Amino acid sequence: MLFNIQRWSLHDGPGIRTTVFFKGCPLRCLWCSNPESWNRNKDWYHFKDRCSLCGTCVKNCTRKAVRMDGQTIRHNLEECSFCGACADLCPENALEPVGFDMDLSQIMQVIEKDSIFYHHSGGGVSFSGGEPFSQAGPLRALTDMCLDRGIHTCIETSGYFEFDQVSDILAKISLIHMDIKHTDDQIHRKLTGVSNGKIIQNIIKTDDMGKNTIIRIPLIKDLTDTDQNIREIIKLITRLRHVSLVELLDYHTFGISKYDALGLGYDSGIAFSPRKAEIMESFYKSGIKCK
Amino acid sequence: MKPTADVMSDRITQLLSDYHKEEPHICPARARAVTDSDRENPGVSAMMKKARAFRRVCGTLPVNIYDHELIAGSAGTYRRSAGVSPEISWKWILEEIDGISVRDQDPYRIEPLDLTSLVKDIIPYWQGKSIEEAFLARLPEETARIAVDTGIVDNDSKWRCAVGEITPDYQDILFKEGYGGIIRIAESKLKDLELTNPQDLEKADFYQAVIECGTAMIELNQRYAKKISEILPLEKDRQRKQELTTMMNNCLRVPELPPQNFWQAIQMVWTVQLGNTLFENAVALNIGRFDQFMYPFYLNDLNRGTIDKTEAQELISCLWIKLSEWVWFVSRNTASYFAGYSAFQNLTIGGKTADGRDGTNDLSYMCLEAAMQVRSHQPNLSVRIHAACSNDFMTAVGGLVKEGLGFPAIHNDRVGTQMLMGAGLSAQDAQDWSNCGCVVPHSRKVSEWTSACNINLAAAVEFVLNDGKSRITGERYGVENSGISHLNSFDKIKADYFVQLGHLIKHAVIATHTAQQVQAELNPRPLFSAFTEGCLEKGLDVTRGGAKYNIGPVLTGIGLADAANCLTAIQHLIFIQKACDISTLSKALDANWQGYESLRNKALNCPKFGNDLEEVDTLAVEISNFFHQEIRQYIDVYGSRFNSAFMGISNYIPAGKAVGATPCGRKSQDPLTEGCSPHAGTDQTSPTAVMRSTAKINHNRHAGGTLLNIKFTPNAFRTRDDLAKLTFLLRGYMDLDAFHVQFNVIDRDTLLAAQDNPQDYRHLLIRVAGYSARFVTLSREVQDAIIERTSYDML
Repeated sequence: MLFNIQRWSLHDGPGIRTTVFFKGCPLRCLWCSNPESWNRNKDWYHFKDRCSLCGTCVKNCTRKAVRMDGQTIRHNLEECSFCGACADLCPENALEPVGFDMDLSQIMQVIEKDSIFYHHSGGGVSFSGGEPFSQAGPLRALTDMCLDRGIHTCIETSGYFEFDQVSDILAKISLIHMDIKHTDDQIHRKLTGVSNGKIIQNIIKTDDMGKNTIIRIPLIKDLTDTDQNIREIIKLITRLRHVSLVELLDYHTFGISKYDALGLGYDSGIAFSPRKAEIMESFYKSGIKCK
Repeated sequence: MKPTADVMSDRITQLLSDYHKEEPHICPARARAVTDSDRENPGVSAMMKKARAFRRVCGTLPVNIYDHELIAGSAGTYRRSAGVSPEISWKWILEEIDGISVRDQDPYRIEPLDLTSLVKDIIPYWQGKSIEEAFLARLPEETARIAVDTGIVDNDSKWRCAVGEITPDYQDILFKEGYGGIIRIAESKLKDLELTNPQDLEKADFYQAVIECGTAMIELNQRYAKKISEILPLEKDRQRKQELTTMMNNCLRVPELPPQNFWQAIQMVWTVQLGNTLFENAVALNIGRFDQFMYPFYLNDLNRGTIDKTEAQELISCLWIKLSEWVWFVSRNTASYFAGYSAFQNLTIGGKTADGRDGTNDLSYMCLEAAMQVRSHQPNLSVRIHAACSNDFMTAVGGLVKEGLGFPAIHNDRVGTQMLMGAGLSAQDAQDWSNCGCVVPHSRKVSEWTSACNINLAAAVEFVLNDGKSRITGERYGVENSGISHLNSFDKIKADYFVQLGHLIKHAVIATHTAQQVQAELNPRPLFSAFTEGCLEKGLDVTRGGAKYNIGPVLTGIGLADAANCLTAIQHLIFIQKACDISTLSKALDANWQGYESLRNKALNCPKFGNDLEEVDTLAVEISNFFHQEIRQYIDVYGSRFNSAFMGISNYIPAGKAVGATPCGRKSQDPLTEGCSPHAGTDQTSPTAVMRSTAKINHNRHAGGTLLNIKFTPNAFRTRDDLAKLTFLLRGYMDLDAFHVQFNVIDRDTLLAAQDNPQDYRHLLIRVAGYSARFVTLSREVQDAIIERTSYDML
């Protein structure tokens, strides 16, 4: 189950890339910009700003899976067969399904379309999500197919996976992007909904495999950008031998409208960190390349 | 090696400031001279009339030298003069002159005395004598109904304007012979003629016309030299005195004799260009491969120590300003097709030489730099890219793209060569190609009409569903097909589409033949024949087939993506989704989708060209292949096969006006799309997807050129890394065998702000289609169409 295949991705690894977004994630990061990636199953967007609340979708659903709830249209996902009638009939284009299944060969066809651009730019494919390792079977197959075709691979992972079940995939992927959100387990649970124990272990194990890894840190004001957290992250990275770069990710609000369209609430306490420059400086002082 | 002359000189700053203060101004001096000459030469041949009129123009045009200039010569009384050609077409001038200073697209100022002289004296003389009248009198009635001011089939730039579309042969003729040498050749040819032979009598007329034109060119610069000699004693500044002295000596040398140094060569290029614009106030009088034919002079001066890079750069930038100063004078209708005062003087840099080396040199970089410094709408700067191009050059090209001027137009070296070989050039001549106008692969060895006629590809869809009739006028321009009831399969619809398209092509051919015959008979071009290989040898004007190569006229399809999107939508809505029947669809289109919003949504959601989707892209390829094959059946008055093109100009806007609502979801009279670009806003996948869709078209067989525009936001090229990715994108696109791409780098907010406060955005250059124009000079409609185009950020 995917929720997007994005060609012309320029910031998910080297060169011009195609990013395959896997749907389903064990984490619930407060600042997540892809909330449509959380649910492993298909979902519906309802864009309120377009909707005239005419009720055409409700009237025409043969399974009675669509209802109007105040200003929003909601789908009963247990009843919905995703026949698409509600979206097709909507005069305002206010409904859009999220998530699709695709044969591996079809996914590969899309990936291969931009081969010529990968070739010139040193690009390739990036697996992202959601958590790509949560769909290890398809991910393994796609990785193998890319290997066969000489297509460079990257993965963007939360680090939350069963190491032994996916270590063979890790071994084949050219470049790993792994997140560290917080080193304090209690805070990590609060921010992401899960413990960081497995994530930190996986970072160390991946490093032991000798895999070239880029560590990414989402910078959120007063949550992840604290002195304490950065100090501990530096301590951890200093122990690792194969981290080629630390990327500090600025918080952005591009994803907020998607929360609303999915009927999810958004924590308004999330804010842009003003500390990027000084944090970058701390990494450099510890001999860690950072951008 | 990248030159280091990146700092703009004070002179260029000053010249630009003066340039921006001037408004385009109608100047009747040319028209007055042509009219006087015609009055005084009753009964002479059309050939000699043209030559004598030109000599009169060169002998009477006001000569001005402006402060800080290093190159002498301007096109009339005013610094930004628009010359008038009543001998070609005058009706529109009378109809439009009253509102011409306030019209929406490309207004011109006119002084009261000039207006009186033009309307009371000059224009009345040409009644019954213009090319336009001859064309309309001869055009068959049925073709006239379809092809005159309909937006369906349109060739008015070939009968309301002079032809243009030619490139001087500096390398083999002008820089070798000068006009003095050309005159000597013509004189010696004259001596060998046997005038008892009627063909030789005609040749004699031609050679005499060439001598007249050459003499006019020499006299023009003699007048400038004299003018300088008059102002020289008044000049106090020592350095300026020296400059003026050099300019005077340059004008005494060129264009009579070949230039001896870089400055003289630049002066000669401008004088030839000026002569060409005075001869026929036309579009696409190209410069050619400037970095190639100028390089020997540059290198020689550099080696002798008489010039440095900074000085050479300054001269090139001065030429850029000169090329921007003169103004093409056109009707409202023509301006809607060629918006932005653009004269389409194409200047080509980079690319392989005729013998197969990479021709990129210092001057190639300096031309990119000139475009960056001068930031004006002319010349149309084209770049040829090939696999062996250095990364340095690619980065420099990307650097100019990033500036957001809409230049350069980036072309595939290999595909351009293939296009011209397909059109009949030798491998060597084909490889020496340069651009004509916007995106047409062209050569100085060739005579051709690169934009002979536009054909509206979306109108043909309308005719399928509407019994051959326009939804806008109710007139029948297409083929009667006895209604839609028999169109019960997609194959039948497609077959009928090709019937309708074939019908339009047929009338485009008839209109083109008529225009060719009229131009050959009444509007010979001895000035251009003098610098076109083959003409002097044969004693034959270019309009009579004298050039080494006569390439067939180019018929341009407009709205390729729209046609493919329409056919795909019909297939999906009626035959796959069965969302409606064909008569319901036709009613929805009649209603401009009003009351059919849900159906329109479905139509908009059907696959669209530009997203790398096989189904719709394949249809676009099929339509383009048919267009090519159908056109190639026809042979022009010189015996050459017609050629196909999917290129730009802003013709997609007036063409859209002629078409009602279309099955793809487009509303009535909305713009179509230009060249091989996706329809505005419908390419939502990625620039790589757009490029792949576009590259599926068989570019190399459309010898009239193909075009793709992509818009980026400035954000897209923030870092060096981003810029490198742009160059990789370009290399990939060229590998896919596509021909051309050009970028707008501009954000939406800037464009909206420019609409609100045009005064603050006078310098904002924007790519329209195949060329760049100052955004604030475009009509609101064209501006809106540009804002509508999808833009890509780096994701």
